Amino acid sequence: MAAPQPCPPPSRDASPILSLEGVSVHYGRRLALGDVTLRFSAGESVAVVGPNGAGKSTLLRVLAGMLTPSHGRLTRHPGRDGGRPRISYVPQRTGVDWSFPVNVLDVVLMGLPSDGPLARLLPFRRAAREQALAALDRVGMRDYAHTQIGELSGGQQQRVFLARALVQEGDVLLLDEPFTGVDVPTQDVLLAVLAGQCQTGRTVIYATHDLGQARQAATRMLLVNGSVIADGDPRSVLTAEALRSTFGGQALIIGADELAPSVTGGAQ
Amino acid sequence: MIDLADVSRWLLDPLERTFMQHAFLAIIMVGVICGATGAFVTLRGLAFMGDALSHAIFPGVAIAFVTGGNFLVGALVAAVIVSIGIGTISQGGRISHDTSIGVIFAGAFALGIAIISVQQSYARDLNSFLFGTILGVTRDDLALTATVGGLVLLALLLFRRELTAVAFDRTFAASRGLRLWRWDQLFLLLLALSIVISIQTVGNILVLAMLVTPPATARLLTDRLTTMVVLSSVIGALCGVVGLYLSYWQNIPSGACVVLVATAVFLVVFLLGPRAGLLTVWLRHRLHHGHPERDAGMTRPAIATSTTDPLAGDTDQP
Repeated sequence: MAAPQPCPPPSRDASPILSLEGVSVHYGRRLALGDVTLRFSAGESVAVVGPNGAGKSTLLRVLAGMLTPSHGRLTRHPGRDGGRPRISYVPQRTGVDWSFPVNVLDVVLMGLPSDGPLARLLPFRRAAREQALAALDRVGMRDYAHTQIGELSGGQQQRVFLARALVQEGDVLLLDEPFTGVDVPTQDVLLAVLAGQCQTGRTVIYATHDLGQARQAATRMLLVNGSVIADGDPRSVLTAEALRSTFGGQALIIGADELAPSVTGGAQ
Repeated sequence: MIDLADVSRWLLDPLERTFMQHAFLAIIMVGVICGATGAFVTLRGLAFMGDALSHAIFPGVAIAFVTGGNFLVGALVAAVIVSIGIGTISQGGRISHDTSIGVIFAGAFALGIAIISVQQSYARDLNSFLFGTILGVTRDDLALTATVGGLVLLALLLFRRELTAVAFDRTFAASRGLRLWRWDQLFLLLLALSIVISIQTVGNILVLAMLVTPPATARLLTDRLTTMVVLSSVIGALCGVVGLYLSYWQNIPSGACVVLVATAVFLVVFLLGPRAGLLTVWLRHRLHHGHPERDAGMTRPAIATSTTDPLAGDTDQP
């Protein structure tokens, strides 16, 4: 597969799509995310980087509107069709039971909006199936449309989840750890699809704990650990100080002298 | 040599009696309704919740019985209170869902026993509640079962996609705008209705088997959800009919017969099912290892790595 063209850096006057103002999230008494103020624009490709438990998933859930913050608020600016922006979400694939009795096509069809009271009595329309198959084509999984999901590899599962988000044709694509534990072909498909999304003016925001991955694919990087530690283009964000306060003593920083241009190490 | 006249007498004799006609209709409806609802119960891992609901509606039924009210209303009120109570107790995080089900259902059941014990006919009433009184099903009971059951099936048909999405991937369902709590409560309501209309037929203790055993059998036979729901309903109804015949001729309580038949069918499929049966897979292994030349041309591996048997598509079995 040809190397995907990276997304252009967003221009300063790009229209905003989602913004957070002073958002905090508590789980019980524990503060998961504190005082976050951020603005996301159309066409951005944003990597949210931080260690486990840093609040990456929490941030994505707030952006998806699934989690109401305990303080602050989320503003949704008009999407490409002028209405409320549509959000597509790719959850962590380890969160579901892969022995569930459905095939790949069934899973992708779950991404389509609900039918009206009469249409929902019938099987999916032909157009809906075609749409799902086209999405599977884009992630290289069309041949697996009728395969039982339990027979897929981890990377294939991830691609099916991506196809399910693609049929939603959202203005914002949120992905929770899409690169974790996937094979190289899947990684290539993910990079190509994500690049294609932001080139068509969609916003891509994904969580990752892999710094190298984030630097390669994102035009903007957020370092998160309970709050936002750094925000900007990957080169300016990756400073020794920012990494230390994100990953604490866990960070293995290679070539610390010339850190900004050449960070290659991740954090484990 | 089986005498055809004997067989037809065995089959037709019970059908000449009105109470048996009613019983057959009732068990077929219960088999279909519980089979369909039960498919979602097993996929969501809610078997224990089903058990809890069936016991927890007891005080509602008991109060209705003592006060002469409608038992369906009593049962439904109890079911809603119990399912919300379980959800509330487990919400704090210190007590698991499992534990809170255990606390609530035992308590509710005890309350039901206490209430019903004020009646003179305590032992008989309790017995009929626990094991059902299928031979006492009236025309009105049948109409009620058909109406409520029809509504449950219609709701399952209308909302099958949402219920499936919520069962398969809750995070994604929530991101699509589905309110998980509402869908969960809707499903628990459908489950409670299925249980309530089954209690007269199979009794409170054995209704769980109608909710779990036919779907489990169906899951062994198919990897498709729609097929699973249909198969589960058919299996439930057939086991009901066969069980009722056995009960009639062997003079064993009907609930026990029906559940024993369902369990036997499950075990047979578990051992000998064409796709993933324990003995089937073992035999297939033996045969394959015994024929290396014939297997050489095969492209698929001859080792089953999961419960979904990779060899299920092969048709070259002797």
